[in-house]
Order: sequence, then C-alpha cells, then structure tokens
Amino acid sequence: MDSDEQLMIRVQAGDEDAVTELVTRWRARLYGFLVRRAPDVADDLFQETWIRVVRAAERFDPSRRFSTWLFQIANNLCRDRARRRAVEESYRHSVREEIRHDAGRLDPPPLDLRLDMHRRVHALPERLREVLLLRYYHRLSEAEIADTVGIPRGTVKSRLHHAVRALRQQMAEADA
Amino acid sequence: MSANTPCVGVQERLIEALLAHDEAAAPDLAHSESCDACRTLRDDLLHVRAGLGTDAEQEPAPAMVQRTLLATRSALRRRAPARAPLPVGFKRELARLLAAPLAVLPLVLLWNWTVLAFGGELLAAWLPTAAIVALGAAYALAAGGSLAAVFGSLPVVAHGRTQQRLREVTA
Repeated sequence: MDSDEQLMIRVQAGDEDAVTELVTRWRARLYGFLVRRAPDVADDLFQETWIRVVRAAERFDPSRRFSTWLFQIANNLCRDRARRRAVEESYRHSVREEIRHDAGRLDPPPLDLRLDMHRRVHALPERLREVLLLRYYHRLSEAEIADTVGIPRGTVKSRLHHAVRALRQQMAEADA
Repeated sequence: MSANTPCVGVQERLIEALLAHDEAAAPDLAHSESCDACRTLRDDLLHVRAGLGTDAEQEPAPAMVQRTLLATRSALRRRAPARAPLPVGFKRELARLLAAPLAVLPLVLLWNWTVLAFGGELLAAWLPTAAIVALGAAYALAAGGSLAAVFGSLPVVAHGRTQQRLREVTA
C-alpha cells in the first residue's frame, strides 16, 4: 500500500485514483478537525481543503509528512474564514449599535453559561483552539504543530498549557 | 505555590500528560496527594479529559465526500498540463553543490590567466609563435572544457541526489 507521501507524488503526476485514496484515508480525521475548529462551515472547508491539496500538489515536499501539510492547509482556511467573519461581525455590530442607538431596544441574547465541552473548546481564542485540537485530538507533536501553524515550538507549548488552563477555568466558573 | 516549589514542574507535567493522553507519573501523583493546589488541578484535569473525549474522527456525509471527489477530480483535470516538474529540494541541493566550485572559481580563473599570460613569454625563447599560440589555445580549451564539465555535471548530480532522497523518504 502506498504511503500518503507516495500518493501525493502520484497526485503531482495527475493521478485521480491517488486523490480518491487520500480523501478516503483522511476524510474522517480531517472532518473531525474541521467540525471542532469551525463547526458551522466544516462542510465547505472540507471540500475547499481537498481542492487546495490538488491545486497545490506540485508544491508538496514528499520529505514532509502529508498529515502536517493537510492540517496546515485546513487550519489556514479556518483562519481565513475566522478573519472574514470577524470583519463581518464587526460590521454587524456597528449596525446593531446604530439601531440600538436609534431605537434603544435591542438587547444582546442571554449567554448560556453552562456550555458543554464542545462549545467550551469552540469558545477558546482561535490561537489556543487550533493548537489544542491538533495536539489533543490529532496527536501532532509540538514540532509538527509549530510547522503547521507557523509559530515557534515554545509558543506551541505555552499556548497548549494556556488552553488547558482556560478550559479548567471555564469549568470552574460554570460549576461555581 | 511559588516558582521555586516543585508544584510548577508537577503541574506542567500533569497538563502534558493530559495532552498526550498519558497517565500522570507516579511521583507527580504522589506529590499531588499531599499538595492542595496540585490535587485540585489533577482533579480538574480529569474532568477536562472526560469532557474532551478522545475521538478525533467524525465521518462526513457520504454525499459530501462524493461531491468533494468530483470537485477534486475536476480541479486535477483543470490544472495546467504538467511540465516535468523539478523535484522538490532540487534548487537547494544544486545551490549546496555549487557553493564550493563557485568559491574557488576566481582562483581557478586567475591561475589560468596567469599561466596563459606568463607561460607564453617563458616559452617564447624556445618555441615559434605559432606553436605557442597553438599550445595556448589547447590549454584554454582544456581549462574551459574542464570547468564546463564540472559545472555542467552539477545539475545532473543534484537531480540524482534529490530523486534518491525522495525515494528514501517515501519508501
């Protein structure tokens, strides 16, 4: 059976069966990552990630692990989507503020303080969430996460610890 | 707890164990039995672990996988026709191989120029001019040919080495 990296060499040569094999192998792990990372757009990003894999196939270095490269692409797409959303949200917020100012009757929705763990993870800041998901669920090493996310290894470690402590803090606050 | 107590290290290792899905080390567990802060963290981390679960995989809907496969195949066909791409790492290997010859190239050129310039004057006492010109031309051809052979072979060597490395890492 070909390794992931060998399959990517075949993809570079235009082999459609190799793409199918990679999608089949990695579909559940990639989708599991996306569902936790960006739940409401996971379906879109799943397809987008694989299209990027094909389009960028020639830039893949077979001496690197395919999984690191795949998660790097997926994570970058999640970041782009989050950035776009932040801009849209900022615009919506300014519109809401304007309406509130005009009408004085738009209250924010009540915040559910007893979030389940899935929502707690999703509530973590982006920079903490991405490293936690890659380390805990996908068991990438700190070096691989550093490579995937593009930050120093020491930063990966500190963000991981920060993420765990933030989850613990959230749970303590919910229990209080 | 201060930075000087063992708690800092113990707590870091407790978190590392959670992240790696490992059990905490016995000495750290023993310490946390006798330390309120570390015991609280240990218990909290057990809750966090239980809440996080371990299942990284989630099956996407089969219809979505099918749509994705169609989209990727279409993207693959639309890709520009592949000219034989240089293997990844070729440029780096070539640069590495070129470094030493390029470093000594000025010296080699200087040496050859010196030989041609002064060699002719030295031989002028014994040989006719035509013979000196012929010798000079032969020397210049030999020197130029050697340089061309050395520098011309480097891309071939770099390509071979890169291909070999790719075969090794993907074997």
